[in-house]
Amino acid sequence: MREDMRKNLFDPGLFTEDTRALMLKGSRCPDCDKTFFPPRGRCPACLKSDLIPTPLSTRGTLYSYTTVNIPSKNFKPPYTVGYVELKNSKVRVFSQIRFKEDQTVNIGMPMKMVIGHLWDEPDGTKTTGYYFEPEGKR
Amino acid sequence: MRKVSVIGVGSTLFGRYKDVSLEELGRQGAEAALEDAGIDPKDIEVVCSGNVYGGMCTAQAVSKELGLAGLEMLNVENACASGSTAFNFIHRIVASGECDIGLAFGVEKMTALKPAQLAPADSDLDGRMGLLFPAFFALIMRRYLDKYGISMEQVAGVSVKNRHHGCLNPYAQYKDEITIDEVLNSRMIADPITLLQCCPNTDGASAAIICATDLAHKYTSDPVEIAASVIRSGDYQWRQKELAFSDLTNKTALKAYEVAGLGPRDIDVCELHDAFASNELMHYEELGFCEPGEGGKLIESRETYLGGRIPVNVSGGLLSKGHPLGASGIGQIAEIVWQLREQAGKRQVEGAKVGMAHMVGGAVTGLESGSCGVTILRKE
Repeated sequence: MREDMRKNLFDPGLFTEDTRALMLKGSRCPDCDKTFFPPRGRCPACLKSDLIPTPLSTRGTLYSYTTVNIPSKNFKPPYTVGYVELKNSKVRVFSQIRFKEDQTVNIGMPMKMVIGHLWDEPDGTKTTGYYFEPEGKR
Repeated sequence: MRKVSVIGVGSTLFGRYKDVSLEELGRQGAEAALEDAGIDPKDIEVVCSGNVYGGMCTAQAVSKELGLAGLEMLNVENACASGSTAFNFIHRIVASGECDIGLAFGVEKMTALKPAQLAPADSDLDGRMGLLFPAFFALIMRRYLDKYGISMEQVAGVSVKNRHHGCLNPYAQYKDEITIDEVLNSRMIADPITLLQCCPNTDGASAAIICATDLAHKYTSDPVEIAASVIRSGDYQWRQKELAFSDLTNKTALKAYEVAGLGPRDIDVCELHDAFASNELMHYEELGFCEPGEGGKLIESRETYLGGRIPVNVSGGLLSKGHPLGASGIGQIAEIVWQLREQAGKRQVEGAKVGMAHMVGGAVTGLESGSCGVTILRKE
């Protein structure tokens, strides 16, 4: 992981790392064993506080997707977004979805998370964060 | 709680008001309702405004143009349901007995907004990651098509129907017929949503005068009773079983039916949230007009056309009228009041006695949706 990639994460609180890589940080409730993302201070299921920070799987399946042809604040069209349901935790994450031009995407397709460039701030900072791409793209 | 009625409604034409201020636009909507009720502004005891993009103290800014200042005024933002929520607040204040007459209005100027502003709050995580409302509803729509095998022709049929109805409504922004092919071949916005499946960006204002039922006959010979006005908000997304069915609309409608002592079969005319054509098919199911998965068949049966079993969006809906967020909810209520008073002209649903208005919308990371309002009105 290059240092500038780590330095320019758009919201460092959403990430955690093990020895190899950055991962999304969820919150697991020790009482009802549910996991949530983004991280929370209180379990929305049983209302217990003191949730345990938990690294989330970088693998999942595509739950839904759309290619957008109008600009959003941080992305120029066309860009694809979708929900990915993560392995194990079943947490559903909204994300940019990137794939090769000759690739098609489908509901249920296996996806993996990538940390990389997301958008440029007005001051030129290259903001980084998570996006998903089909498994086996590279 | 005492019974409450609507004694006047009004609306500006929905359209483009580049050189008209938000205050002036709101004033025009409110004046139309005051005139309809035949009351003087000094009779108003409380005001509530629904608005999303206008900034601070819209109720006060508009009311001062009516000669009203210094009384209780409330401002609500509840995304697409902002107008429905303003109506709900005034309904409850009058029902409680605290005030006898109140003004609820909604106003919005959308045409000056950039597409990137059709998004959740600036700090919202999904918004920062590129979520816009067309994308939000496209993600839901794809699950809906996938789960039930709904066809694109069935979705486009909603645009065709509502634009047909819009031709009958002087208040509609679009008054021309379109075909299924035109809908499907129009520019792609967020696949599978094409341009003609989207409501237009619009400016406008709508208002309602709400009065205790036992005083209503002082002002009008045909007050319309508020049988239910219910606001609910979206539950956690993780608790939702399926994106293809909005538990939010369903639970809000079930509560409204319970309060009114009515069911889906009692609704003679319905105005529902059709910001995107596929929304309407899903809402048929969530409001109980058909079984889950049957929305496509219902539009094909033409039962939701004027003259059908359950006419939906006979005003032309948001697809023809446009969707000035704060105003839309009260615009729907105005349409239902005109229908129940048999003043709806060429789009009149014959013999309509009970009508429903439904709005839903807004996005917050981790929640199914923002807010939903269901109003049931009944002829006295």
